Amino acid sequence: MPRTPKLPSIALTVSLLLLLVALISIGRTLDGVGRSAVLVERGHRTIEAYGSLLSTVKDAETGQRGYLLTGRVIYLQPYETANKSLGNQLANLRGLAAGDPDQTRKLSQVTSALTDKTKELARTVELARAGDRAGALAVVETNAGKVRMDRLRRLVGELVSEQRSALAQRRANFDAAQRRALLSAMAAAIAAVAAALTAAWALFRSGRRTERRLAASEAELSHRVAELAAIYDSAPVGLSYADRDLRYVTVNERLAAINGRSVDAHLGRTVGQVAPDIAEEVESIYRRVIETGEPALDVDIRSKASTGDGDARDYVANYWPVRDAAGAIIGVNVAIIDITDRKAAEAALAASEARLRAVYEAVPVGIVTADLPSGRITGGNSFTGEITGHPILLSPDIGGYDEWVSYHPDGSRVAGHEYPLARMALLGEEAPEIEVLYDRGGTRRWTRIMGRPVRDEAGSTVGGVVVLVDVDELRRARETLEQEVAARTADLATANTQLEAFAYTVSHDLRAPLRGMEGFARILLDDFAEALGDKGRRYAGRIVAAAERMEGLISDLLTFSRLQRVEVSLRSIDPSGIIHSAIEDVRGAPGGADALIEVEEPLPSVLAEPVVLGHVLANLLGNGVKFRREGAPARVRIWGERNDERVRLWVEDEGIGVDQEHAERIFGAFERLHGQEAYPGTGIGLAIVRAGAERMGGTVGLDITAERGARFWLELRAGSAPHSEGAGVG
Amino acid sequence: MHQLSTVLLVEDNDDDAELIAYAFEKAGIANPLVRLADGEAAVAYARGTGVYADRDRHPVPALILLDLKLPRRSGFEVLAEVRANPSTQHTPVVVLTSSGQQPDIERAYQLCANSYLVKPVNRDALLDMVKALDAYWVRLNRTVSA
Repeated sequence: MPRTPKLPSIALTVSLLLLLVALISIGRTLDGVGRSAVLVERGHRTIEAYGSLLSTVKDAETGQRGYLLTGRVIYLQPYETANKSLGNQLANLRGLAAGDPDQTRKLSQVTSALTDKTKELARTVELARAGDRAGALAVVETNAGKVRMDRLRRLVGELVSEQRSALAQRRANFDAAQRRALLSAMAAAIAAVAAALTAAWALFRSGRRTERRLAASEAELSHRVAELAAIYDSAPVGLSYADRDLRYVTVNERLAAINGRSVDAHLGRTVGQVAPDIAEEVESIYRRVIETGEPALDVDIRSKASTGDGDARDYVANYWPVRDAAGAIIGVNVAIIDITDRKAAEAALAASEARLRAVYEAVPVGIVTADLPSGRITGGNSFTGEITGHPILLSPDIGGYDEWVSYHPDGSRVAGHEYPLARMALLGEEAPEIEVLYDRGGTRRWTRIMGRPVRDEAGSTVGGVVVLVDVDELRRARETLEQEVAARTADLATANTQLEAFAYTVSHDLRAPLRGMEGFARILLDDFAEALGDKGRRYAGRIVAAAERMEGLISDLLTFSRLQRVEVSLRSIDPSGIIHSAIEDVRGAPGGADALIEVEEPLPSVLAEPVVLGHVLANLLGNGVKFRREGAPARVRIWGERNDERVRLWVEDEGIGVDQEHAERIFGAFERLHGQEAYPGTGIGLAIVRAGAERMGGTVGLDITAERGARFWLELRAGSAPHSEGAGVG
Repeated sequence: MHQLSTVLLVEDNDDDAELIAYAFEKAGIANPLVRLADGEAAVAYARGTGVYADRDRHPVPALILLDLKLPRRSGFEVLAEVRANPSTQHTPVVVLTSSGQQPDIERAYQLCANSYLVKPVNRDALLDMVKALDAYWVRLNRTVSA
């Protein structure tokens, strides 16, 4: 678009230039033609003049001859006439030759030849006049006159011939000039026409454009007006204009809404009529603006106009004087905004701030805020002063923290960079904490300082809050507690040692008499059987049996107590080996030889301690064999299954089973469900099983859903050895 | 075989001592069994001091069966003395005790006991054990002659 307006002017300029060039060319051509015409004409005249000159000389010669031959004076007349005109003719020729050096030179030759001729003629005529016609004729007879005449003729002939060829040349030049002039004139005409057309077209175009532009700006203008009208109507600001009589002239929707009436209900009415509740107040403002010409700005107004009998709303209004072209005030413009919500929000914010401030001041902890990363302290609550023992130092940066006074336990000052705020600023720590000692009225008290970041909406840390908590009592309580724990631990260690000593005593001292009882009773049975008699032998047998039961009891008790105390270090174990050695033990025990024991291998590996696992499995297996049904062989099945990180080893028998109500009780020490006679035992077996399982981080239980017999499970953490996968119930 | 080598039994419990002696007799072991009831006596015997100075009557034993829990001086002390004494430093010592406690076992071997046995309660087991002791330590085993 911006290029097109230039086109007509360029076209016009170009065509005008063309026209100028053409005109100059025509001018120059015409000038040439003019000069050529002058030269041609002069050539013609020169040729004519030389012809005339030659003819005059002939006339003079003819007269001379006639006179000489006849002697009659009449013949002298042409001679005389010719002589008289010769001077004029020569003068004329000199004029024609002016400016042409070649011609002038030749003319002087002609003149000299002519002078010779005229002198010869004059001499002969004089001779004749003097009566010597014969002498004169003799001169003529010499032929000298003819020679002179021929020379003259030749000179004039050359001249005329030169003039003729020059004339022909000039004619050619003239014709060429004429053609050029014609061409130039035609070119000029074409250029002029082209220029005129271009200019006309350009003018036409620019005219059209101007027309369109005008139409567009007209549309734009009306669009703008519509826009402004829309803005005026829809602005969230009440806008009005009232004349000097305070009558509304224009009002937008918003203002109408503020006054609780339609726009039409405003027009022509006074401000006081529209909003009676604030009429006096508002009208006085209008009048002041009209009188003083000064605007009234940020005027707070409270009105119920829009809500009827509801709550009053708050507004802020600006009043501007409107002047005519002469500067006279003709009315008042008003812009008014509803600030009720803003005021409510401000009030709510103030209330919330007051609440927070109350909490801030009420909490028994110090709170300090800072900008990060500068570290400038922005404030703190009054408890901070209490806890630190000195007023808050509003340090402008982290460097200022060195002035803070707190101590490490060894009495050295805490350096500025050790405080949580500095660590957040310098190291970017998220939640740094430190415990320091503050000097409070002569005593140093432990205080924990905890820093937390304050983030902006983008999540970057812009500040920090530190909380200072007096942990002096806590610290001291903790120290006391630690001492107590240490003391208790020592006590426990002592008790443990004592327990071990007791266990030693049990294993050593209680067993010794048993050996005696059993040993001697057997000697009686072996070596003194006859003397004892039947009764004696039975009693001795009872002693042996009692001693064996007691041995079993002591052995189980020792195992049980050792399980409680032994250091258990777990490792991955394939339980198969342990199960097979337990099976051998069971088969070796009384009544175990014919037991049918089935192991579904491979078994999943478990995390366990081999000795403890051995005790646990031997007891479970032993129970399975022991509590068989009468008359039926013991039948025990063992399998394993892995569930994620746990492994269950199942031991199932087809024996007498356990009633549901006893399912939990059986794992307690010395719990027995059956008489010693039917199922001998110590009552500690399952207690050992549970203690062992628990020491290995496992659990043990009885599956009460088993239809017959008992089904125990031992659950342990899964080991990492082979067989750890794929094993399960077949 | 002019004279069978002596087996020394250090045992404070009379019952145990008698049962062991019975087992020796029952197993048909003819070697003289000398029983000492406390640690002090055992140390004196090993050194050949005091009442045990006469080595003809109290010869260096071919095997010492040693209880750990003894009056006056413990079995460990006796073991240390036996090993410290040149004439008994290579004498086989079998600890025979009622304690199966791991610390006791470790300590016994640290003091260079040759074997560690827990006294069986069962009489038959005791008999088997005594037979094995005799077979291995008295008949098969060869030691540095004193």
